[in-house]
Amino acid sequence: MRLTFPRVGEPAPDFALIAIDGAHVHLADYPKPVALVFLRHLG
Amino acid sequence: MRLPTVMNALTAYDAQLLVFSFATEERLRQWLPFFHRQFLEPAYAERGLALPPDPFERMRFLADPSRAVYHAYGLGRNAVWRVYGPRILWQYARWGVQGKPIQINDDALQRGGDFVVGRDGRLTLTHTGRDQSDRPSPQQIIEALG
Repeated sequence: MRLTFPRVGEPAPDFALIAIDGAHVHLADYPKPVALVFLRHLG
Repeated sequence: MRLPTVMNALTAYDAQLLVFSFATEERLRQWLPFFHRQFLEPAYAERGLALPPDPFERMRFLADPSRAVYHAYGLGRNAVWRVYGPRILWQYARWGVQGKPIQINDDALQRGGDFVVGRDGRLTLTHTGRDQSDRPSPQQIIEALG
């Protein structure tokens, strides 16, 4: 699988997920600025 | 990520934090109290800071087991030699000495990353580390939020 790492200055890739508190999170509508932290394995 | 410093910056810039895991929602829910107890509380205690009443106030946790969002942000799998290289083994050793449990129940090769989305929807920070110990500094995150 060939993935493209986004660069500073580019539009953030959009996404929509349901958070574990039940909130619908759609990046395009989400309050900003927002930091995104992608975890590795939980531990 | 130095949590207390970053959390203060979130408040200062009226910013939010979204935390993604590729674990299932159930597993992520189970992990949160563990994270609070084993990492968040000690991080504040080490700095002599009181834990905020709601340390997760500006945070939301999202499960992405399909890794669709991980992949949208270019986060694939790491090479084995990067995951188990000297730097991360040293970090595991430090955690072991500090009494922090080391549990690896998931895909240890999945890459993590840190991004900041500015008010205009464009990225102001992009970072994927060489290994688990390689995360942006609090100063880099603060500058990206501002």
